[in-house]
Amino acid sequence: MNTRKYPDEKLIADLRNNDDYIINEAFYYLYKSYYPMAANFVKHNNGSEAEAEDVFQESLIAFYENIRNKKFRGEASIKTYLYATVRNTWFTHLKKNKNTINVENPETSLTANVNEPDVMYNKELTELIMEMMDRIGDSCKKVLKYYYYDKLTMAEIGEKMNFGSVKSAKTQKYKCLKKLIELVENKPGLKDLLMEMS
Amino acid sequence: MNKEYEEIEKIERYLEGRMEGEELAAFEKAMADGDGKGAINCASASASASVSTDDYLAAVNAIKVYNHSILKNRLRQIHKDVVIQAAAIKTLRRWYWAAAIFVVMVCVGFAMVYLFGDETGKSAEDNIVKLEQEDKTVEEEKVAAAVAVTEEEVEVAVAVAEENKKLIAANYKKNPKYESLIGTIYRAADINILTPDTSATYAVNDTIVFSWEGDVDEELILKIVDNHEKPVYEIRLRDVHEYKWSNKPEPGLYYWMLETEDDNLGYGRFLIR
Repeated sequence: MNTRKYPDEKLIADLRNNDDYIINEAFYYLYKSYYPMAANFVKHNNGSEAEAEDVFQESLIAFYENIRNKKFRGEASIKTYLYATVRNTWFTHLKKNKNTINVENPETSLTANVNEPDVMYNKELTELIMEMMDRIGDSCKKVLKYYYYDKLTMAEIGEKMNFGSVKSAKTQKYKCLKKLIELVENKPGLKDLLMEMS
Repeated sequence: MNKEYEEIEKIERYLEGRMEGEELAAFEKAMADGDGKGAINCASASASASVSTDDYLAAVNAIKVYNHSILKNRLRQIHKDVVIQAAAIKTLRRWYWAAAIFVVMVCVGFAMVYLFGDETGKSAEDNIVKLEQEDKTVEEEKVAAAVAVTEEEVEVAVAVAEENKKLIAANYKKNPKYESLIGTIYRAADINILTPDTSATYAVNDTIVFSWEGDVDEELILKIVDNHEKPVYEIRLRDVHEYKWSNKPEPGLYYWMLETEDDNLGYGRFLIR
């Protein structure tokens, strides 16, 4: 592991990049560099390898989203930030499962009872959403991802998807969102579940 | 711009804090009048508003869950790659250590022979020593020959391990062309692909069930290719809704497609471990 080869500033810049290949490279580096640390922490606190994998992936996603949303301002190093995220995610997971075995952490009196691995998000809901998103088509999936998840501007989206103008990119985005709203409305109960996440 | 798009645009501006003054007050009043459901009237204040803030937030949350899930799948793949790579490195390190220990032992052996096997003196006793020395020399030659062969074998084994690692990695590399086709919906077709799931993983000896619902009058063609686009299997089917494939392919990433002579009906992928 050579941290000099990939300093924090470059990692952050790469994760903010809009090129999937560059983002993937950054994820590979983060995985190789920090997964052993996270796995060690979870396993020393009554977790399994599978739980460590899940917790680390959730933490990486939270970190990535914070970088894209500019909530991560680089006040702490990536290593410290990720470690804190893994720690918080794991303790939240333990709390949820009403744990009863002592965990190795001087700052908390949490106790853990190791049961089956945690399901971090509702699998059925995710499958339903995956199916729904597949129905709006690839172009719509991309436009909506770029705007609502990757936080690209309409000008960037227009350029990336060759829409010709910002106006036509906007129209396309609205069309796709409308299509999605209609699909959500056609699935009874789904809207309420999604609203609970707000 | 369509009225519904205007409504969405308005909700977006409100939620992003870009709405001000009278417009903001009117919007908040409309929201309050909407029986607490967040429904708003459209710009013209008619009662035909069809998009509410709830609808908007639910859709945006669906986008977030979807992309979160896609990202999670990507990280699972990275996890697999990193774990496979770590295991390969561990194996190689063991080989290097074994080779290094062997070389050190051989060097110590040579040093011992060099230090204690020197020929001196001329007496009968010395002749016995000389004969013993000659025997030692023969032994040394045998040892040296054995060492040469063994070192060569270690180098070959390390090279083979490296090559195998590269081959395994190449067989699991995603094919961008087929990746972009997965999930494409062909509206002309009345076919809905049921299995295998795009994240399905099988063992070499597993039987893979390709199934779909819906009917097509024409003959269906099921094609399977590897991640290098090399055709692996093709069969023509008629009046069936599933096909069981048990050809024991090599471990790797495969893509499959269902089509007719004229139309594409669906694409998918599966992994053989």
